[in-house]
Amino acid sequence: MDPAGTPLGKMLLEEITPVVMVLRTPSVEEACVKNGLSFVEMLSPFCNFSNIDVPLRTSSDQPYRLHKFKLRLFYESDVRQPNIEVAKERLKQVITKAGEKENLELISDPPQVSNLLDSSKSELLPSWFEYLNKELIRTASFSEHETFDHPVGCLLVVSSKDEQPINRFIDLFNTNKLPSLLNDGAMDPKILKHYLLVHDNHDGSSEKASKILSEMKSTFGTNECHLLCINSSQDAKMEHQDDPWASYLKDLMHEFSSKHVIPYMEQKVRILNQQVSATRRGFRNQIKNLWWRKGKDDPNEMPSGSMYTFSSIESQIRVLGDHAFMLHDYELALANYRLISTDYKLDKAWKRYAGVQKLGSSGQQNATRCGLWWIEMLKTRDQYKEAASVYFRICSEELLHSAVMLEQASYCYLFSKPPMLYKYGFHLVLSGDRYRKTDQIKHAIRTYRSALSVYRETTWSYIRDHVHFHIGQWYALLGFHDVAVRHMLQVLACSHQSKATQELFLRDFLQIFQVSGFSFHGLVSLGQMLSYIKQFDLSLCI
Amino acid sequence: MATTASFIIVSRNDIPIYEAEVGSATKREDAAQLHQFVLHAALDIVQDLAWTTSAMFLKNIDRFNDLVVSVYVTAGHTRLMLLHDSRNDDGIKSFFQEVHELYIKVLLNPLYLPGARIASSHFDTKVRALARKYL
Repeated sequence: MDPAGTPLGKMLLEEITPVVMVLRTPSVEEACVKNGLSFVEMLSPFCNFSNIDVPLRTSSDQPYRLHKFKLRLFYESDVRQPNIEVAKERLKQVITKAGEKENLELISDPPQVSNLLDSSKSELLPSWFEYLNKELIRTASFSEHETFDHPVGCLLVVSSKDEQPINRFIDLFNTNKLPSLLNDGAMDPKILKHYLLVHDNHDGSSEKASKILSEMKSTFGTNECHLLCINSSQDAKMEHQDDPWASYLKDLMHEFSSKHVIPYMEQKVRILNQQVSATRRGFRNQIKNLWWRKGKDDPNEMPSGSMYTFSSIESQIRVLGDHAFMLHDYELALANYRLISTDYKLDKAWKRYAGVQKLGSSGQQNATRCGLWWIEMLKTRDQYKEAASVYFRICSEELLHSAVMLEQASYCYLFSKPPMLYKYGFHLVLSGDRYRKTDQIKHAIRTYRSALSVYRETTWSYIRDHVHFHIGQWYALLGFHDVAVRHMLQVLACSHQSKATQELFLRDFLQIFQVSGFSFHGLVSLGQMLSYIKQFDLSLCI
Repeated sequence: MATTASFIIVSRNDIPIYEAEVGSATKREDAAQLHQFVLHAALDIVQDLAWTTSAMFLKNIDRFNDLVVSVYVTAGHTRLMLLHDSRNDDGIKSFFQEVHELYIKVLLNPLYLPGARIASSHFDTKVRALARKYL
């Protein structure tokens, strides 16, 4: 299957694309707001190229053409790790909303195992998993480690209405306001700069704009400056099809990408490749490296700040690999990733990211992100069992995320060949337990109900008791007393449990039974209950 | 002596015919539940592994946090499963072999239905004694 068509392929092609940072003055934003869009929103649709058709050469001088290409535009204020608390809250909303399912399905009987095995994957998997995974990956963006999030270029935008536009351009790139990524040595602050003057035709003739443009060209260089004319209407929204100036935008981004960004990246790849070959790959250097590394194997010696500055060779290899990847020179990318992985295998690297960062949460996010990609890779190769174990390992103290990870792990066990039903059930129970701890009762019921497919007729007493008792309690919490009673009945014949537990079961059962009232079903259940009571230890009833 | 250990004999139909907590640690209320869950889940793995080797003693086939599952499969596909947190492979192997002998003696009893629960208190005492000796 075409790798680019798999979910993993699509994800990578979308996520691992060059970032361009946008710095703009308030007047620019005002002009765009008149049309109901932000500047980035206005340009972003034009940054996705299905056939940009740019000729490139690989490191070994093989010519090839780049077709699919995408740029991600971000304001400088967004080029930082998303606020963790905000992200967590948003994820929680997603999960809660997903739990608001049809109550009917929640109280119906769980499917038979044979039906389960016959159903296709898309029927079984909750649809919100994919969205949640994407969001989790996104919360780990813009860390120091993930170099493909580091901006490769910068777009400085000033409006023709601004006073002293040249000075404004210089001000925009004021280091104080730039993201910490550029300042603290994690990435090379010397990035591609491009100057854009925005002129709104609505405001008057473009003569003034042209004058400013020539000034810009003489200050910053002819090729780096561009004039973008937009045409604001009074209240209307922008329409791509009819609007004549949409093509300007398209041409602008096309030229920017094909004539500036891509060649810049190609150049960087070339330079870095030379540097890396010189210092790292030489046979003698490999020996030297091995010898030196024996001494400092202790990861705790790493400083607590950023692990490597951009000038370190490891960082350069990383950047080289990422740039090569984004330019679709996969051979070169792979070669470089292999180089790095001899330093630390993917497994250890993932742990190392998590361990070195003294700030636990950001390390955990990186681990989650690496883990989720690794899982997609494994799933593409049908290695579901391994994928499940990775899901298990990326569980953290963050209970809600762990719950979702465990549930995803359970499905992996179900989809493995041969299907591991007992593991499926077990992980569903683990997941449900965590859902309950985070007050997601509907999700807890959902997972336990699925687990019942496996545990329905089990003879393992503690397992049965656990599942039926808890799901009974939760049904009662939500008000489905009939169903609750049915489940509680299953746990009454429990002479193997301790006395305290038996009392607890009986007490809860009677409570729920009382609340449910003496309906017809209730009478039938009462009859069943009486037959069970004979099996009780008589001392309990006194 | 292992601090946590849970021993289960599972018949070929995946029905537990004997259970015992043989660890030296004080029993927690939910420990028994967790142990059953872990051992039950490990059955999937035993299923595959048992047919790949002719040895009876399959060492650590699965783990959960810091608990390890070791399994011993008899000729009749009865599984002796031990959940423990120690690394005493030799002790565990000897334990399994001795329990296997005890189990054969139970099978020889004409009044015992294969696949039924082992209710003999004599068996229970002996198994616990063996656990104390080897684990």
